[in-house]
Amino acid sequence: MSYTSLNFLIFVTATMLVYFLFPIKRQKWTVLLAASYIFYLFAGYKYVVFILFTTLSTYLIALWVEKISVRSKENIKLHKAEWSREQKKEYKEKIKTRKRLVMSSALVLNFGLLAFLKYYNFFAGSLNDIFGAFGIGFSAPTLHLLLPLGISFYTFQSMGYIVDVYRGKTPAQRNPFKLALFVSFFPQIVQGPIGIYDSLAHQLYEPHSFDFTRFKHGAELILWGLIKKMFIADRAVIAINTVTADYNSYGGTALTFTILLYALQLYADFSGGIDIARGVAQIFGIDMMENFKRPYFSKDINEYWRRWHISLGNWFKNYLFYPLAMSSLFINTSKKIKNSKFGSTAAGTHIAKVLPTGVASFIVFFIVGIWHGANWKYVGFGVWNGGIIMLSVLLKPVFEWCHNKLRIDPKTVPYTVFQIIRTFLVVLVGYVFDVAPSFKQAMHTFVLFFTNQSLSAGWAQISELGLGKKDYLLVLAGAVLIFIISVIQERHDKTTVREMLDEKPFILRWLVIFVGIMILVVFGIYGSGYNASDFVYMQF
Amino acid sequence: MKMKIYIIRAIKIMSLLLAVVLCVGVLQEYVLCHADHNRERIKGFYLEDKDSVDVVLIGASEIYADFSSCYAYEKFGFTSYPISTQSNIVQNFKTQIKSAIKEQHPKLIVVEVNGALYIKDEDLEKEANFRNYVDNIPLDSDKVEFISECVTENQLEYYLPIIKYHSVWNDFPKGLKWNLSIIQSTVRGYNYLKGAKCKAVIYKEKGKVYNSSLKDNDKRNDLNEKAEQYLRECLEYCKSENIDNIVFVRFPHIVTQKSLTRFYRGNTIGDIIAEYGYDYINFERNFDDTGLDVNTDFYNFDHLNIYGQRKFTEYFGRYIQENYGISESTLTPSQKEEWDTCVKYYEAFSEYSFSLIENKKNIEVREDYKCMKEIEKYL
Repeated sequence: MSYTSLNFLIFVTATMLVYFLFPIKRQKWTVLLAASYIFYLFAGYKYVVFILFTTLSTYLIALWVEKISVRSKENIKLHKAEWSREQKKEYKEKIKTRKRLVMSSALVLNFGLLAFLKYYNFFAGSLNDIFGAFGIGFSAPTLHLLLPLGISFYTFQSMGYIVDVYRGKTPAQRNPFKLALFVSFFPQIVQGPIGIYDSLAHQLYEPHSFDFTRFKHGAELILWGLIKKMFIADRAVIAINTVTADYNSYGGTALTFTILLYALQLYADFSGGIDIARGVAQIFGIDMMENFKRPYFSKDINEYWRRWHISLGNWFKNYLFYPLAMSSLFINTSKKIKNSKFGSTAAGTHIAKVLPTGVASFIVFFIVGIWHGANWKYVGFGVWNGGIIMLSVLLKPVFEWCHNKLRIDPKTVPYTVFQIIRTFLVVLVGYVFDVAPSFKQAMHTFVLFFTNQSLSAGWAQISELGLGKKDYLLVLAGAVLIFIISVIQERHDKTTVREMLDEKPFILRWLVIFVGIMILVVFGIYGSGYNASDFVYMQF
Repeated sequence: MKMKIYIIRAIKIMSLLLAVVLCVGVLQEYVLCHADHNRERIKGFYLEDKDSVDVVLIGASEIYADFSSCYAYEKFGFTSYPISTQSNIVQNFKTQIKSAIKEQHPKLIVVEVNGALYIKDEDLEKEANFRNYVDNIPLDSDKVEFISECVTENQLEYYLPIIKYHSVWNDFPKGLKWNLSIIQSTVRGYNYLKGAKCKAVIYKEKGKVYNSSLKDNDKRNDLNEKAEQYLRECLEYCKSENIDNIVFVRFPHIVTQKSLTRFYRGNTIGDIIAEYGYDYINFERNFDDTGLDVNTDFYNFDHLNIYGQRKFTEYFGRYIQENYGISESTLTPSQKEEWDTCVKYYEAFSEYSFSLIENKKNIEVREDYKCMKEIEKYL
């Protein structure tokens, strides 16, 4: 069931009615659980097995980890008097190893399932290529594997929960059904945001009453999400799909245009979907985290990744980046550099200080790249982003030196604009890996950017991408609309546009909503599609 | 106090929803729709006063190209109206007969059988061939039944056609000439040409014409299996409802070597219709009786031009008058005034078509906004 379908609208309305009219207040969350599983069943009954498996393994492992912690604490308390300091330390180490073992089983079970379903064929194919190159006759079989709806998102969310329990940040959930709701909450299952147990779970279990303001704001957010998706993204994607279907036929200008269009399409589609998810959750009284914060206004790539898909960034920061950067290997290497002869120089001190951060960032983005899809081009995407971040961390003093030498004040408006454009260009380079069908074609695209630019040939190709002039004008209008709203939101970070709208006269408020709905009805991409030529009868 | 707030909120929400529904409704009906001559003709049928039409003609393009209701009224005084759309398929017949009876209780229903002659499944299943008719009829139990029987995919789009047609704005302003004309007809309460249209050109058949030699040709070819099934369902419906004021016809076509097999299928249709005890008149076989001239009266091998339309209307009008007892209609003064106006417009339409043929301008003459401006010059 697509978020943009009429069925979803009916489904949400029905769930809302049942939820708010449910007579047993304390059990209201069961309505959300039932709705989430019904929603999931719509995607295919076979997928339910996988989400049930992840839920069950997460539930049991979290309880197990907690049990080990509780028992160890009780044991230490019990033997407080008789155990020596060494014995306590030894016991703690033993417990730590046991907990790590349990954690490893969680990693193997949950990420193993995800990795198998999502990446098995990619690795089998790559392995076969390598064997083939060396003339080895072995061939790993490729399998027809199901990829359950939202498996990446619910696996990450579940693993985050287990790590939080492991770290003692949150108690394990004793009710398996409540945990099942946390894993499967329907507005976020398709594309996030990836929720953190601490901030999301209690909201899911609390009984919420109908609140008109929340309903209004939620509905407005859904409308805005639908406009971004159906008016802008689904229109732009027609041209993008035309290019990707026959990628090698297009020259540098058409590909440059496609990458720019993709930047708009991806943002409109992804943030639009998240807005719909957040809007639906808001109606039910649940505040999900903001996942996009005007990312194209970022002044450097680090900031971009703090504003783009924030929940994924947070997940990697909390559960991968920090453990890596703070690991004994990284700390010891840093110390070694610091204590070496090179470490006594200015460059050495800086490198010793930032190396754990830089390398950890690189590894994180390498994995983020692979997370995006099972293809070498995504590895290229990860390496590009990780490499730029690592370099920007390592070369920070060089940039500062340049600023001083050239007497540049980084806070001036022209320089800020320059930084925004520079970051956007870096992001666009990353998008080439996304759009191109393969790593090789992505590399060729970069060559075409510099060697194959022709406005007339480019325009001829652009006008044949399945969109007419009127459609391009609408896409442009959509981009301007997003830009204006983003500027307003950027200037008023504490208040949402919806809250600002609340302060306007009633007629203006409703007119904005009415126009929004009509934009969607008239200019949205939905339905089976109309082509006047289908109705033409050549004879009469 | 709280109650007052709730009521005000409810009113605000309802007013917004109402505004949206009204706006979407108006857009769907008059702007974001597939507007063409089919829509105007079918919508026009429902604009006619109840029980004021004596003959209803059901079929495909042959009906509105070969027969003019206005000219038949001018010549014989009976009222008629075509429920016809381009490539009207046999599946539509049953619902069209139901509508004809429900709206008009006509003295005679004429069904042109072209819709049962298609041989390919894809012609019978083409979405446009349903939509040209069903999109333009009012929502009632017959429409619901028709959609549930004939449509397998995207049924919701038949009830809410804006889902399909909302992107029609892409064709503006090109497509608006029909929208304007339909709005005018709706405001007026009837359309001027009663669905007739023609193409101002004279067709010259280069190959051998078989019509004159087909009088006694009894060769049969099988119909498409589905087409036969739908035809039989329609005939069974007519039988079960005791509809006896119905006649099945095959309007004149130039039969060539290429279209002979279709003629043979027409013979098979005649047999099936006879099984149910209904009349079937094949004007391909009785071509010479109609007085049509293949060298002057056609605009292509399947359709008559303005000369042919006038000749055949006169012939067929007289035929049904003599054979089915269709007498002059009894009309109220306003209905009579309406039909008299239509006759004037039809004569202007004819004059305009004649001049186009004389000047060798190969264009369609019909009741769209642009064309009517030209026709009105001949009033």
